[in-house]
Amino acid sequence: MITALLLLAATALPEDAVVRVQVYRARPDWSLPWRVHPVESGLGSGFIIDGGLIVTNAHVVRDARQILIKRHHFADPFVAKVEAIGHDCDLAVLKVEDPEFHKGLKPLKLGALPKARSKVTTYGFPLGGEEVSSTGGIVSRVEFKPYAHTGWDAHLVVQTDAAINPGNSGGPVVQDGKVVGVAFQGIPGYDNVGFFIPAPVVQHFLDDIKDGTYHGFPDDGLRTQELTSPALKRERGVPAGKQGVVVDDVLRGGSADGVLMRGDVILAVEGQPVADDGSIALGEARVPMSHALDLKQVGQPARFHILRDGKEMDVTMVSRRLARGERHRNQFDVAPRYLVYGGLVFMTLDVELLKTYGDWRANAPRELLWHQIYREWETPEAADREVVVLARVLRHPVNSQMSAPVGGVIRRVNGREITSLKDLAEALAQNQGKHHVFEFETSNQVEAMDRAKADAAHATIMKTYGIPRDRNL
Amino acid sequence: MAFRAIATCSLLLCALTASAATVANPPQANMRRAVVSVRVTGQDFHWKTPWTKHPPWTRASNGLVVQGKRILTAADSVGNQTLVEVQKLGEQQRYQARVVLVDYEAGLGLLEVDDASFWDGLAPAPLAEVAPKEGEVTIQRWLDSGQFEVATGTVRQVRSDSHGVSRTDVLSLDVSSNIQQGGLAEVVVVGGQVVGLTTDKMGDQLAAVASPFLRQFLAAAQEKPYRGFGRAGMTWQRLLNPALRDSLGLRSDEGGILVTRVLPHGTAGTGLENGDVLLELGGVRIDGAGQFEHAQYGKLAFAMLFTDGRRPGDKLVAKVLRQGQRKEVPLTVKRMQPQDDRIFGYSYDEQPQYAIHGGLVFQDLSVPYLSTHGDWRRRGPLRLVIAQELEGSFPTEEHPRVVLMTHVLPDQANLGYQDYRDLIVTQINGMPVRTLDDVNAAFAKPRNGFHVVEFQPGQTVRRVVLDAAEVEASRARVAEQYGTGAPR
Repeated sequence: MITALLLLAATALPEDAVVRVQVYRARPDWSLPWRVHPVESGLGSGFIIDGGLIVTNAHVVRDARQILIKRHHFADPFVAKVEAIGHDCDLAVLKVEDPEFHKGLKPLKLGALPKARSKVTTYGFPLGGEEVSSTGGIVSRVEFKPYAHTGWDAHLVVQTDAAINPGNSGGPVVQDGKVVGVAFQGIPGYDNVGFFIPAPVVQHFLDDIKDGTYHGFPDDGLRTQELTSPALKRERGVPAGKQGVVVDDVLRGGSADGVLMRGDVILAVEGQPVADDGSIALGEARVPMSHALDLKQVGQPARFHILRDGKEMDVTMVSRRLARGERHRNQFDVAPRYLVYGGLVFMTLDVELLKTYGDWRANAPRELLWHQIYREWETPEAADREVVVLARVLRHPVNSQMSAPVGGVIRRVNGREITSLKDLAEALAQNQGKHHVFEFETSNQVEAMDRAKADAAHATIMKTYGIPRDRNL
Repeated sequence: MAFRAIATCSLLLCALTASAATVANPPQANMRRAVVSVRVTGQDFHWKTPWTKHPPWTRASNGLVVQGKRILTAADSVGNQTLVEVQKLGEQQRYQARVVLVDYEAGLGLLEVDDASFWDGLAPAPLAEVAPKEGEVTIQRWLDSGQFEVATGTVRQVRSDSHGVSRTDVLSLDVSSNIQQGGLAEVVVVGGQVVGLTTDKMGDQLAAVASPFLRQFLAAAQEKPYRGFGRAGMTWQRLLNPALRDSLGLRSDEGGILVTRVLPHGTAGTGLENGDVLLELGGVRIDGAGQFEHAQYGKLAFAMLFTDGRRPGDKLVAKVLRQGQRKEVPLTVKRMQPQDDRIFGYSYDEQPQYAIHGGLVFQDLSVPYLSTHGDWRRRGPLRLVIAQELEGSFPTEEHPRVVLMTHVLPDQANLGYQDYRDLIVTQINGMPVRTLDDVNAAFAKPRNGFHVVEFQPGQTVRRVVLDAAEVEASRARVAEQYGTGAPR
């Protein structure tokens, strides 16, 4: 009787731990990298965990300049700041300093991965009302899917038919009084399909930030091929009755680089047998093998049992994160990098620069798409190079006669190879010659600018085009 | 140099004589006897399933009777033809014609008609030696009704241009006219002389091959074997920026353009280098915008210097600024056939080549293949689109072609691979794949009972494996199930 009552107390009011998150944000303009867009506001949800911290989605508080938290039954909002943010898993932790906020808090506990077909309840502040709202549903399926926020990462995702609408983002998904996930995305145009970040991914994030720094999820850099081809399975010499996946390629610098080799057959990961379709068991569910590697913290080992050249063996890789991965991710809370000289605006190639072309896969220069998508696979020795692009020309007599290709990649400036924006700054600063000479890649185009005239025009160009700083390297 | 100057002068005299004659006493060549209707039925290849063809089409166009009982027409109109018929004098009777020569790079083709009675009542019209730079013209053709149309137009400019699918620049005429559905080899006439043959119409602008080039083509057609026309074969950049000119060491009295990429198989490839500043070609000065001063027509793009009075095999001297030194380098004019490119831009009249092994379909990457993806420049398979744009014109010893596995015809032999498509092939059974021939050669040599196909990294998959015995067993089955017949 007493246990039942306590359980009731714990499950009866999760809404007391659910907060409304109001955000005012200012986002940089990558097409004019010294500029910040007008302020926007946004709404989301969050929930309180141990320590009075608030968990929400990274996309709710991205680029925030001010965050206001509204507690259930409290009239006034509280000011919060971002304590930690993981854009790659779309999670953030917020902190409110005001002691008033912390009175009578009933934090929610994190649960486990919910089972398929089990019932869950979502809490949050979807658009269309001011009060906390809850909706029920069941777990439809558990998969390893892309996270839309960065447009690049993929982790475990749970699909539910509980309504998840704009404003629900960051709200808890609750089962038996515990948080089993964080509502975060839907599919535009699809009803009854909502997704939440399951507890193991949330736990990974919370464990990661314990030391005060967010390191992010590791990049295994592994491309595998399912063993659905009987011929491939025979050719790889996989013994009858065994299953696994074949290593199709290994990315330079990823965790698997130097540990796994093309053609290896992965039979087990962390002691879990891998099926021919690449899945492993996770409780009663089957999830892609990638999940086992994804749950590692940077620096932790991951064990594989493999078949290489007909021999079974064990290998261990250390989980690493690729620094250059950021160029593939939507960027938040950072200022664009650029350099303006003689009216030429140089930027580094990343997905934000590509997005200035709109539908960039269709519209962006093909040369940039090659660098962005294929270079690290086709020429791994050049994988880490930073590509410097002539992003724009601000017309002035020092450059108006140039036919410099906007969107072109800079190969050399004043004879110096350019492999970063810093190289470019140095090549310009150190030049003692009469001209600056810019050489472009692929097209082999060349352009030049009179150094003395460009130096003399610098202040005027900055003033004319309203540029407060000529660089953010 | 001296010869060139004299030749130019004599041409100029001709021009004056011709225009004087036009004003004083217009020659009354009867265009009705020189203009004929051409009706082409054709069938295009299906590049996605290259063993099949699309439904046939029939298109009307026009032609011009020339010396030697031949009909001159636009090349594109006879591409992929299965039947060519001609009609004369507004009559309904159709005569079968044969294509005796078609040069898609020249933009022109020649027809012959075996039925001798066809030529009754027909007579060639004179082709003007000089094209008009300005003034009124008429555009003439037979209409379906049997009436002869003489539409009016105005010459906008004479310029260097390529026609239809061609990449070769020839002397061309831009004409403004409100003629309906033009650009199908109508005859452009001034004072009873033919000055051009139309090839395209955009809005109210007709593009036409100018008569001096029509004459050049007819002369070239007499040669055996036919040698075609040359092309520069390079990318280049204008040199108008004083700072850049100064940094290159160019004098203010010089012109010059910067050679940025030399194609190995063109005229430039016989002597020019990336980074050369091209100052003169055959003694003719090229300005910073890439134009030269033509004796009759004024400023024209330098690309025309490779076709204007020149033929493949001709030598000419280029004056370049190379690494600070002014020097003369000999060049040999070269014809560039579309098939010489790494990724060819067009193809007519020949069945696309392909290979099928174990249900895997292999083809050369080409623009006709990419075109099967609809809006391919924006939506096509990205790595292939990048290859076409960045490397398509640049064959190398190592990469004369880009060989693709275009798709998979599902079969027991390729179980597990059904969804792979549009992958660039690098190796098969350890042998590098440069051409489709290499694909076939490699499939003759399985290794340990398997075929291993490897693809360029960064695509969906790098390696697929087929069982060699199953591949052999699949051949008849795949041919039967998918109607592929017997590929080469």
